[in-house]
This record gives sequence, C-alpha cells and structure tokens, in this order.
Amino acid sequence: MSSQLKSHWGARILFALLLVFVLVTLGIAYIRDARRGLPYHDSFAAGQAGEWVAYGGAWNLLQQGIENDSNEPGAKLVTGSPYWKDFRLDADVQLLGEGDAGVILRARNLEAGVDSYSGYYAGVRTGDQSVVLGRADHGWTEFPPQAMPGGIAPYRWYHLKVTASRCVISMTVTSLATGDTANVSRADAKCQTSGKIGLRSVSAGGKWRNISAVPLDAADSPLAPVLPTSQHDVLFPTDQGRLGANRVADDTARALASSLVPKTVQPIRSLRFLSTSHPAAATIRGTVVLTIPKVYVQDSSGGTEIEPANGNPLKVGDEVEVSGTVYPAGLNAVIRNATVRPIWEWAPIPALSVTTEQAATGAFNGMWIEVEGRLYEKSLGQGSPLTLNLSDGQQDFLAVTSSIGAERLLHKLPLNSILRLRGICTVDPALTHDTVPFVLILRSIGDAKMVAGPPWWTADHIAGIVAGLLAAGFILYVVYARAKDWKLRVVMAERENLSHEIHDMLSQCFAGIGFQLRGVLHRLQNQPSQVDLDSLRQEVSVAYGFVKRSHDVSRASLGSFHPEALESAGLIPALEQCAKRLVTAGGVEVDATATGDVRPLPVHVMDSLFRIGQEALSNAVQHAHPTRLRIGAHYSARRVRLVIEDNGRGFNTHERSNGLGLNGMKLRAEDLNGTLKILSEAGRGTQVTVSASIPSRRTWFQRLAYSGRQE
Amino acid sequence: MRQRRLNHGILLSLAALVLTATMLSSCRKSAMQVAVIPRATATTMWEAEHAGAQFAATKHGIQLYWNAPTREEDVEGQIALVDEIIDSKYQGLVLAPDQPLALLSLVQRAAANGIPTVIVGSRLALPPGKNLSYIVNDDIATGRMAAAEVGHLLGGKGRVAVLGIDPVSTSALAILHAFDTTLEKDYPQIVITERRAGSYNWTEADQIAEEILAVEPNLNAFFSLSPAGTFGAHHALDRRPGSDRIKLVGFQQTPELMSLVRGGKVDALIAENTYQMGYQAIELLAANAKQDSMGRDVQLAPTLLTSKNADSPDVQSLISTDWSHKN
Repeated sequence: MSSQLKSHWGARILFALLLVFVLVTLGIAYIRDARRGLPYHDSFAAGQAGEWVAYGGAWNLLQQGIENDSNEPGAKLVTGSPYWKDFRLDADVQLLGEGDAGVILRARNLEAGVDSYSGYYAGVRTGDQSVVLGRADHGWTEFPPQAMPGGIAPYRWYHLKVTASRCVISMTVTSLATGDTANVSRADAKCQTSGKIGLRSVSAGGKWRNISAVPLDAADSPLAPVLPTSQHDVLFPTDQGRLGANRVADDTARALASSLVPKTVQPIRSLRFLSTSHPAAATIRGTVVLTIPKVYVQDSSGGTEIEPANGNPLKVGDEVEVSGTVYPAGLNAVIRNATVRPIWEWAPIPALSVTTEQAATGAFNGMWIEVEGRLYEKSLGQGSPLTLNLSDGQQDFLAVTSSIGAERLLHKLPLNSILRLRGICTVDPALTHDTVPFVLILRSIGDAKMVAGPPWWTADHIAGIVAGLLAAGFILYVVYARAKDWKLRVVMAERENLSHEIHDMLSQCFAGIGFQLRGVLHRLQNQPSQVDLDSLRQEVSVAYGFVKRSHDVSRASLGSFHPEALESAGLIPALEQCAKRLVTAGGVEVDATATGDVRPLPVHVMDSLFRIGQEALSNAVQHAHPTRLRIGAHYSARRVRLVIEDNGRGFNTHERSNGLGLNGMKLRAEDLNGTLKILSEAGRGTQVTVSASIPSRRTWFQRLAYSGRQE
Repeated sequence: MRQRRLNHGILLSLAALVLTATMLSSCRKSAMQVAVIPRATATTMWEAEHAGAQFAATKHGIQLYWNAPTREEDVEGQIALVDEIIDSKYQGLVLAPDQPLALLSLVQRAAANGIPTVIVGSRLALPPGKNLSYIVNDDIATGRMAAAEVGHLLGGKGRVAVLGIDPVSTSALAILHAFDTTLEKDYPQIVITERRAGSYNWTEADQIAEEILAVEPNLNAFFSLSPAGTFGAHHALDRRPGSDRIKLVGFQQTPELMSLVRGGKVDALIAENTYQMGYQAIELLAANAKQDSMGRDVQLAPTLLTSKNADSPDVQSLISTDWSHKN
C-alpha cells in the first residue's frame, strides 16, 4: 500500500512540475513575443500617453502630438516592448530651436542622460543641417550623417521613416514643407537586435506627432542602399547636438548680446518691493525653469512668474532677459505683458536642495528646488493635476503635476513612503489655498522619486504577515495531517501483515488445540466409563505440542516486531540471531557472512531486507527441513545483495509462487526499487536473493539523515 | 518501476542541463567594464575625455559606461551616478569630480570596495593609494601660464579683474593663487582689482562683467576661470565702445571660444588636455588589471591657445569635435 501511495504522490508532483514548466514557458514566450503590442499608434490626440515613460525633459501633450519644451540634452520618452525586433517607425518631428531631435528604436538599458541607453537614434540636426543616424551604448557611435537638401530648420515639420530589419537600420527624412528627402541606411556590425521605441531631443526640445510602429516582414527592403559597416563607425564620440546647438549660434549670440543695451537689471527677489498701487516696469535676467502650466524664470536671488506678451516659445533652460510690468502680491510678483528675449540656450539648471523649513519661509519662491517629505495622501482629480500631500513632520506641503504619466505615478508611489521631489516652489495663495506654506509644481513624473518605501509595520503589511502566517500554518497542518494519515496507513498495513501471520500460524495452532481438547471433553462427557487413557494421553500430548509450538511462534513473532539485534548489531548479525532462534533444537548449521564494501544502510532499506530475510529463513525452517542455512550479504558501490540459502527439500517455484509469504517479500523488494529472485528445485534446496540500490559512502548529510549501523 | 526511473532520469537530465548552462555562462570571460563619469556630458571639453577613453578602451577590449549630469554644477546628479556605480559590477572608475568635497566620501568608498579609481580634471584631498590615482590638470602651471600671458599682453603694467571663480573648487582657488603669486613676483606693477565668483550662467557672468566695467573704468584685462565667465566678459566688452584695449584671457576651451580667439575677440585660452586624461586613465586601469599600477599622480601641463597657434595640429586636437581621424 505504501508503494502505491508513493507512486501516486510522485506522479502528482511530476505533473504539477510539468504544468508549471509549461505555463512559465508559455508566459515567457508571450512576454518575449517580438510582435506583442504591434502595430502601435499613439493616442496623443485623445489626450492619452500613459504608456510612455519619460527620462528627463518636460513633456506635455498637445492637441495633435506631444512636446518636450526643455533644453535638456538627451531627454527621452519611451514606450513599447523591449522585445520588438524588426519594425518600421514613423513620426513627424519638429525642432524647437537649434539642436537635434528624432526617434530612438530598439532601446534598452534606459537611464536619464545624453547617450545613456543602448539602441539607435535617428533624427534631424541643425548644427550641420543633416539627418543623423547612429548607435548609442552609453556612448555614441555616429554613422556618417547625410546633408538634408534645403537644410534643417527649427519650427518646421519633418517626417521620419525608420526601419530596423535584422542589423540594417534605414531612415528616410522628408521635409513636409518642401518635400525634400534624405536617406541613410547602414548595416551595423555591433547591432542591437531588439528594444523599445522612443522620442528624443538634444538641446533644442521638440514636437512629435503621428507616431506609429508596424512589424516589418522579411521581404521588406531597406529604405536606401545599405552602406557597409565602416572602420570609422567604431569610434566616433562626437559632442552630439553641440555643434551649433545648446546655445544660440555664435553670430546670433553676438547680435543678441549687442542688443542687450546696458540697463538696470533687477534681482528677481527685489521685484516684491515694487509698488502695488502703481505697477512699475522692470527688467530681469534669468533662466526659464518652468513653461507649463505657467512660465517661471529664476536668477540667483529668486524666481518669478512671467506672462509673455509675445508668442516667443520658451524652453526650460533658456537664459532670457525679461522686461515688463511688475505686479507684486505678498511674497509673489508677476511680470505681465513681458517682452522676453532669449540670450542663451543651455541645459536646465539643477535643483537647489533645501529643507521644507527653508522652503516654507518663501525665500525660494519661484525657484527650482528639491525637498524630501513623507507621502500621506494622494489624489487625481478629473481633468485636474495629480496632487500629493506630503509632510516632513514639521511642515506640510503639496506637490502637483499634470504631466504625462501622472496616473502611473499615483499608483507607483505608496502612502507613507519618503519622496524626494523637484519642482517650482510657490507660495502663491491661489495654489496653497492658505492651508500649506508652499506648493511644488513638478515638471514631470520623474521629478518624484521614492527614496524609502513605507515602514513594514503598516496595517496592510501586518495583515499580510498574519495572512501569510495563517496560510503557512494551514499548509503545515495539511502536511502534518497527510503525514499522520500516511503513518496510520503504514501501521494498518503492518497490522494486516501481522493478522495474516497470526492467522497463518497461531490460529491454526489454536484450532488444533481446540480440536484436541474438544475431543477429550467430548469423550469425558459422553463416555466417561470408556475413556481410553492411552488415546486420551495421546490427544492431550498433541494439544500440548500445539501449545508449545504456539508459544515458540508467538515468541518468534514478538521478537520480529522489535529486532533489537538489527538496531545494535546490523543486518547480518540480526538475521543470524533470528535463524539460530528458529532452529534452536533442530541441529541446523547456520553460516552468516558479509562481504564487499560493508557500510551502514538507510533504516528503511535495512528493515525491509531484514523482513525479507526473516521470511525466507522462516520458510526454510518450517517447510524445507534443511541441515544448513547460509546467510550472505555483498555490498558493492551502489547495491547490496542479500542471499538466504538452504539445503532443504526445495519446491517447485511455478506451483507455489504465491505462497509462503512470497507476495510480501516481493512488495518489500519493490519498495526498495530492488529485485527478488527465488531459485528452488525439489530436493536441491532454495536460494532467495534480494538486491537493492543503496547510496554510496555516507556524506555528512547522510550521517545526519541515517542512523544505520556499520555491519 | 521503469516509468519512475524514466521520470527520475528526465528530471536529472533537466537539472544537469540547467547546471551546465549556468556553469558555462559563469565561466564565460566577460570584458572589463569601466565607468567614466565626466563633469558633464555633451560638452566639447568632456567629450574629448570620452574620445580619449574610448580609443584606449577599444585598444584593450574594455567596455565603457559613459554618463554624467548635463551641467557641471549638478553635484547631486553626479553623486547619485557614482553611488550607483560603486554598487554595480564595474572594475574601474574614471571620475572628473564636480566638487572636491562632496565626492570625497564616495571616492573613498569606491577605493575601499576595491574599485580602481582614477580622478581626472582636478584633484581631491585624498592622497594617491592602492586603488586611487590622479591624472589631473596642473593647476599651478595654469595659474602661472595665465599670469605670464596677462603680463605679456599688458607689458608688465595694468589692472586685472578675475571672473568666474568657483568658490568651492580647490582647483580654481589653486589657479587663482598661482596667478596671484606669479603676478606679484614677476609683474609687480599689475594689480588684481576684482576677484568675482561666478557660476555656469552666461547671463550672470555678463552682468558681473558689466558691473566691473562700470566701477573700474581703467581696467586693462580680464582673466576668467570658466567658459561662462569668458563668454560673459567677451559680450560685455563687445557691447562697450572703446573696450578693444581690454585684454581677455580665459581658462578652459570650447570650439566657440576658439573661434573668438581666431577673430581676436579673446586674446588667449588656457586649455586642459581632457583627451589625454581619458586616454591615460584607461591605459592605467588596463595596466592595473595585469599588474598593480595604481597610486600614480600625473599632472598634465596646460596649453596656451592663441590666434598664432590656433591651427596647429596640437591645438586642433584640443578643440576638435571630430575624432574620427584618430581612428
């Protein structure tokens, strides 16, 4: 029964493992499918961009597209699957100044930074009026650029069509204003084979629209004649985007600088001192730190909101001169009807790291700062920005953003986590509602970073731990109950064996005793006068013989229940002792030997071998009437072979294969994954051989696990 | 029984396969990985370091990781990057610290963690050691070279304003003090009338230069310690009539400033050899991988760039943005 049980559980476990393997394989195959998510088309027109992730920049949805109005070099916005392989990417691109903008494809290992990704970039560049194609791998390898007929100009739309087919990257750029086109196609020896798609700008910022990606068939040909890999491609770390970008071109800069007539330029912080009754004109110089939803300019003394009168588009990082009418209100001042003149284009300035107490003083009003706080509430209003309520224990404040991915941020940031936030600090009552000292306006969701998760002792975690403990307890209980049940079944099986033995041996003896005694009783009751003392003596003598035999059998059986010799001396000495007990008065010679690499056996192996040997000895003594019994064990590297041999009268194995407890012996041998052989012939004795696999020499683990004795 | 053996066989085979694959993947010798963190990316001066490092890396089969903040004053951004690198798998670090004190602990930690670290650009207060070397600009020579050039331009007599001093940069202060002492010693009739701090903000530098010109009508020369300061001074001078007599010497090169040198708008630039810094740093790390070679302290001499030598090959290698010809 125990063998069936083990086999049953083994099959179940194997099936479960197989099922898990198949499910995991299918899951991995689905996730890694190169066509999953393709074809793709953006949903910017519907006001949705939740699938895009920003790495730097200031990204805002437009009516028909998306815009990065930051000068940050290498700002990226990425979507798609890291397993997209061969596809065509289409996009319309517009530069917002002198610089570089385009698309990235097969992008992986993405980080904030200029070339901090592995993949390809295809774009248009004003510096050398060319279309650019190259590979980034936390460095930049540029394929020879192609001059664009008619040049590349800011605020003009270009259509980019880029294909990635195996290791050939092709691009075609078409000016939507003039119809001019330029192509670049390159076989890349160090090709990046799969990755996401994205938008990227260097220095100038840009606009994108109509972004789509479709799978590419093997039959699709490159967009232009493929140039082979060149030696010059190996090393070409250019200051990408800087040639004429990141700055106003020198001639332009000189003209602008000349136009900066020396005048009184006021520190921004002093604007709040100006008259509230008679708005005064003022000029400031500073850096643009926010463009949406409001424009903020900052210098070393402070920051202020401006309302530009002209439509000159501004980008984060622009250094500007602003002239206009100042309207102070408390700690705030707004420059209205402002004339903004760009002086310089540069990367956005880093945030000033301050404490919440410092921010709460208003000294950093209108400035780009970084603070830390614990998130205790978050909400996303319909059509309104994401609002985070934070506190550092001393000061409560708010952080708001309406940038792309705000919804994702809402789910990503757990309550009670500690956040590091960068944003424009404003004490404007219109935003603070006089309930908190200041509000941070975040440019993008990347401006909120979790520096520490919530403490583990939150109610959710404790509930989770309790649930986990309960589940573990339940599993332990199930395992314990199963083990108990299993043990009970083993005991019941042993009892069944015992009952068979009692039935086979003792019950027959008792039946004989009963029969003899009943005969004696019957004669004493019915014919007391005719009792033949000799026959009576004979019958009582037979009954006594049965009693003696019963006594011997019961003693032998009880001995077999607890083979002390097996524990103390080992398998062969225990079988020898058993054999000698069985043949006490028979004058049978017993010979026991162990050969080979004799070593301790696992308990279950030793017990089963002992039972088989005991049964074989018992059969030999009871049925074969031998004069010699031989018990032998041979230990090889991985097996043990036990042989019980007698020189008795033997039997025909074909006729009596199911008797003599042979079934029990077979089952025990099967439990050991072993074999049982019985060789016998009438008049020529019997040889019972059982062979079982055993572990090789004991390891430290086996010494702990097994307590078998050395033979 | 046979079925059971078969199942065990399949499981054992699978386990053996997984084990073999794991062992094979771990046995594969991977390329040495080195992180190169300049002060800022996408700037000519530090892309030159990238080019030097890349050429040496290709020669030795080293894989480079290149990243940095986009502005030199973003110290926190650089700290965060270096912090991640120390906890990653890199076998070397080349760092141009944005700020000497703020990066000190991180560099100590990198060296203590067994990451050979080469500091380029300007030095830290730590002595070179088992895992720390320096390949830096010779600040004293820079200060002396600037003083000699100003002395030469002014004929040994005049008034000088110093702009663009980063008050928390030991390197900038070392240049300033060398400039100061050299003038005192060699050109005692040249007086430094203004010493003004400056950021990386062009308009702020412009404004400061304006203020100096307003309060110092007899000024004879500007010495700027930053490209932003040089640009600011140039544009302030460009707007002011009759300011041609005021000389302008700047520290650190860009292609745009070099075109001003060619046009006579800037009299001289003193250039750091960032290309060699990158190249020699990777060479040192490659040598160290074979045999302990750290603990070096190399100072690279600055180069004076003027309109006379602007087109010489040596100068071109300091201001070019196209390194393909070196391949």
